[in-house]
Amino acid sequence: MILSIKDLRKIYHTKQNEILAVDNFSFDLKEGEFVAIVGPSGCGKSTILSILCGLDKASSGSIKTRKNLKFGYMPQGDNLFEWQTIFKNCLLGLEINKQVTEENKAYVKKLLKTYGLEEFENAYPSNLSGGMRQRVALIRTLATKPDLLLLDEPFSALDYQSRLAVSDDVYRIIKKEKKSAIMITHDISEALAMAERVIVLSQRPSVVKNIYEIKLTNRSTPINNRKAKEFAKYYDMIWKDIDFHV
Amino acid sequence: MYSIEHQKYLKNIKKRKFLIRFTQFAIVFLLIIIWQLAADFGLINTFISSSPKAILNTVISLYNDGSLFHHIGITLYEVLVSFVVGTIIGILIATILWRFKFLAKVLDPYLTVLNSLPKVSLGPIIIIIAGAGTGSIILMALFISVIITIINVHQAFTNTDSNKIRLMQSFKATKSQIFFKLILPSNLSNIISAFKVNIGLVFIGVIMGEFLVSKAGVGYLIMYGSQIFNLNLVMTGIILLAIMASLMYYLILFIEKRLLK
Repeated sequence: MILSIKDLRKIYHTKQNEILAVDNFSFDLKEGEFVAIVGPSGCGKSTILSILCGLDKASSGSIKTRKNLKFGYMPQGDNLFEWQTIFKNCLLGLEINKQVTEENKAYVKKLLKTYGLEEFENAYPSNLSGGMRQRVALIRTLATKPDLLLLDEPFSALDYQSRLAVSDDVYRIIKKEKKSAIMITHDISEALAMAERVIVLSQRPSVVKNIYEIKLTNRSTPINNRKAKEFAKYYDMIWKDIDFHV
Repeated sequence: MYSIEHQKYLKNIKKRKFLIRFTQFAIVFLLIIIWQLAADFGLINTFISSSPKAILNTVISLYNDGSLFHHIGITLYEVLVSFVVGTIIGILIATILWRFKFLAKVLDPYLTVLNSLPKVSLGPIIIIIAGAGTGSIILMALFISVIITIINVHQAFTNTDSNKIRLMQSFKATKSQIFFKLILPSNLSNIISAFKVNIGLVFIGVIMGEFLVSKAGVGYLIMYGSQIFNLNLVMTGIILLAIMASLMYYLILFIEKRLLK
């Protein structure tokens, strides 16, 4: 167990009223596990990640982590800095923490090389495709050597085809680097294709409605996982849980 | 090699560009000729509307008595100093307001009032405080340009992509790191638009100041010319200003190209 959340609760205050965004949220994360959190939009999914990576404070509840657990947060979109080269973009986290050592630079170069971006090191983000930009964003996060990746609807800005390809890509990289990950998404099939466990949240306030262990025959890459025969069954169950009304 | 169609397409673009330039020059040229002809044939009263030849003669006589570049130099100096100082002060205050949101909220109504106040009304006070000289003129230009710089740049700073800020915060970036690594570079184009607005405003301020102080500079030439009913001098001043202002504008375009490769 590397992360244990218990009875997390978050209240937002506005002038008109207070909003209970998250209530009674508990779950444990195993090392190397990929967990997806799905729920209707505006249900407070992102709040949970914000709290985990310290951008927001919980109103109550406890978060226990393994000693020295390092988070790597990826907000929506790739958020690359257009005025810097790809290599400089990847060094952002290291620069902020004043860890731009030769060793870390070499690590970033190795990552860029492993994931096919070596020749774009000195290019600017505008010269890259959406998928490549997403890969750069992931490498920027990996550069600080986090143990747990927090992905907040990372692919929502991409068109459908790129989205499939990029989720495949990102999944492969996360698994190869042996990272744990929590991903927020509103796309049920994306969650099913990528995650080993899917947490379904209810309408606000977000309480855990169900947690599914996703057992697929021949689990492999996200695109292939979509072909598994259990896929439709899980999709159906989650869809019912979300209880979507227009 | 490109196909013939593509070559035609490129040629057309070039031709169009040339035609636009050509027409632009032709308009100025024609206007000058018509103006001069109208003056020669007595269709217009040259005492009021002057004429290109008279303006040229005025420029030459100003040049001969050595005062042409003296006045241009003084105006340019005042414009440049107020532009540089005004832009720096404006960006600095905008930065402080971005950093301290409480202060920004507190100062908001004051900035609005100062922005809508016709700054020329401050002229007499400025002259009493800073004396009838270059100081007053620069102060005038600063009053006009700084407020709007603060408002525009501050607005741009606060509109920076919040996801990028969250990203930096998740790396535990300090406020100053967020400012220098994200806010400032991502708003470079907004800062340059502030330059463009500023250069125009600074010209207004400087000429207004020269009208009030009336000692030297192109604004003084215009004021002096109107007082002795020498409309040739007034027209000359206006044309000199038009040339100076457009040169400044192109200088900023040049800087923009260099900065925003």
